Amino acid sequence: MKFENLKKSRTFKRFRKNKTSVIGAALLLSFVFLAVFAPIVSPPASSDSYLIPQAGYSQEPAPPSKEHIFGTTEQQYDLFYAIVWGTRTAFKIGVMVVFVSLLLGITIGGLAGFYGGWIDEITMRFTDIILSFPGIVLAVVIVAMLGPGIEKVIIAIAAVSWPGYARLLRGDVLTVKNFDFVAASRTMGAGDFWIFIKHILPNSIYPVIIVASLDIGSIVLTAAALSFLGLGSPAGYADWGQIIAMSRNWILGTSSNPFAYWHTLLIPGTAIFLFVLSWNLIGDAFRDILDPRQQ
Amino acid sequence: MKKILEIKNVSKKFALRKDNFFSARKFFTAVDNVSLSLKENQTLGIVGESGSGKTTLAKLILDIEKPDSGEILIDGKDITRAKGKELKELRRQTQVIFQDPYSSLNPRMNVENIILEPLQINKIIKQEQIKILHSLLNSVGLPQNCLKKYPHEFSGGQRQRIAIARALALKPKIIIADEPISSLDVSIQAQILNLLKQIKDEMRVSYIFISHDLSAVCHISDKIAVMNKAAVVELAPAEELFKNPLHPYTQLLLNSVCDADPENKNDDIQIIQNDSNLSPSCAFAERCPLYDQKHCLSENNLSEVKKEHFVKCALSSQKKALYGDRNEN
Repeated sequence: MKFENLKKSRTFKRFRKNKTSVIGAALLLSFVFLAVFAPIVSPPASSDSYLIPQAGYSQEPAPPSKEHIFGTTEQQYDLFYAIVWGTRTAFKIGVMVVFVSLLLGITIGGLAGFYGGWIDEITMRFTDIILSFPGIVLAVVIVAMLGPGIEKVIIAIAAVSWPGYARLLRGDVLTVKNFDFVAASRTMGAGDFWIFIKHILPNSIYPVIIVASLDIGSIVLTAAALSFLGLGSPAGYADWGQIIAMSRNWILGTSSNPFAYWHTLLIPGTAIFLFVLSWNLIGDAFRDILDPRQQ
Repeated sequence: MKKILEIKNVSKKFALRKDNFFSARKFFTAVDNVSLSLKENQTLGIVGESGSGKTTLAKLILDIEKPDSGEILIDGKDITRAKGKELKELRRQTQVIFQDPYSSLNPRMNVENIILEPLQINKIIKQEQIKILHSLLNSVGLPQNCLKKYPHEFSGGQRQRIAIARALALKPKIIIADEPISSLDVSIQAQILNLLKQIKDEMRVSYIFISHDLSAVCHISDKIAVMNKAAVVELAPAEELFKNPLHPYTQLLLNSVCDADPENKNDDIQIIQNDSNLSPSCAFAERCPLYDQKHCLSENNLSEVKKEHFVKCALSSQKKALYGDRNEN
């Protein structure tokens, strides 16, 4: 679709009218900006740009200063650098997990709904098994088996989040496959693949997309939780969850000043909060806009 | 004239949900031993109340459902046993127009894509596609500027025109119209009926016209089959059936049509409830005014009582009709 058409389209107009969606989009855009221009905003010091530079060997975090505008955290890791490059990590995890789990969920849920019978029975019981575990616990188990690392975290979270999409899509496919236009397509000689791609998916995928956009925020939270538990990225890797994990020992401050190390917790915490908030606002906006009852 | 479609002794049962795990599976017979045929450029009307198996029969012909037994010959080839290329070729010969023009068009495709879909599936060359598209718009009476519009921008009648254009795209020999006008406004119904008639003359297609609207069926059909409880109970040329309905069920149907004249009341319709504990071979026996234990318990087949006039009930052609004689007025 050309940009001119997009500007005129009903969806775009509705999006603009919705204040929260504009705030969400603005927040998200600034994160995208930060991620794209990370090498300019905060030039990397070593060859591995995700490795946070250390400004000394002292254990104690230093407060914000001219050289380190967000201060440093445990072991003198620069917080500003960690936040900027951590944005890339957050996008990497969020988008990759959603992509992988959408692919899995759409394939499995689509096949189950479309063919029904024993395929449906087997795949849906399997999703039931995965859904019966609390997501984060199962993800911890998977990472513990695979070993730590960003890729392993992505695999683990994707493995526990696809069943939701599969179920959601299956339900809609069951409705759509009984519509007359599917039968008409069959009488024209269309094969299963054609019918699935041209008729079933376009009429059943929107709820899944909405839920997925809402999920990116919580996926980043889960990844941060895994990092906090020491199961995520390697030490010194620019990852918001790990930065919070590093501030664990400094939460209570010193005996005279309980807020002595406030920046070690508040700054990465705010970054995660705003990132999750922006996706939730966008997801809500999508839901409102694409809701068929409001058409 | 050549027979384009022959349905021979076709039956279809559907399995019902079991009451519990150990109970025997029960079946619902939707189409029971039906035989019909359709000649080139003719229209066969199928009438009957809801649940009489009309739509299932259509689905069997379209190969959306497979029959349990019997043959469906399209141009002499059995579609129930065809596979691969041959099946694809046979499917092209029968296209369908559905009752509900809202669920028969994909809401996420525009008119151009909807009408082009059958051509794309059958890999017809691009230039040819555009030509066919424009001539189809002409023949169904849609404006040329509607191509980029989506189904929700059209009225029911226009949507049905789009569905007809799509059905015509592959130049099928048979079009199955499953209640194509029942969900339309009365003023639009006539337009669509006339469009169907006009297309029949221009493109020499044959129709199977399924409806419970008797006057519409009479208007368009050459032959009419009356279905009741999965079976064909009467088959006759349209005029003959209206003048001289023999089966009590056909008479009941004809008498239930409302007359515009308020003086002409259909007072003689009786609600009949016969003993249903016996298991008669005729599915209509429970409601039959001609009910006769001996007759209704014995096997009855469709038999020719007059030229081209078949009835499933031997009694009906002997006894005088109970539901008033339509020839009186």
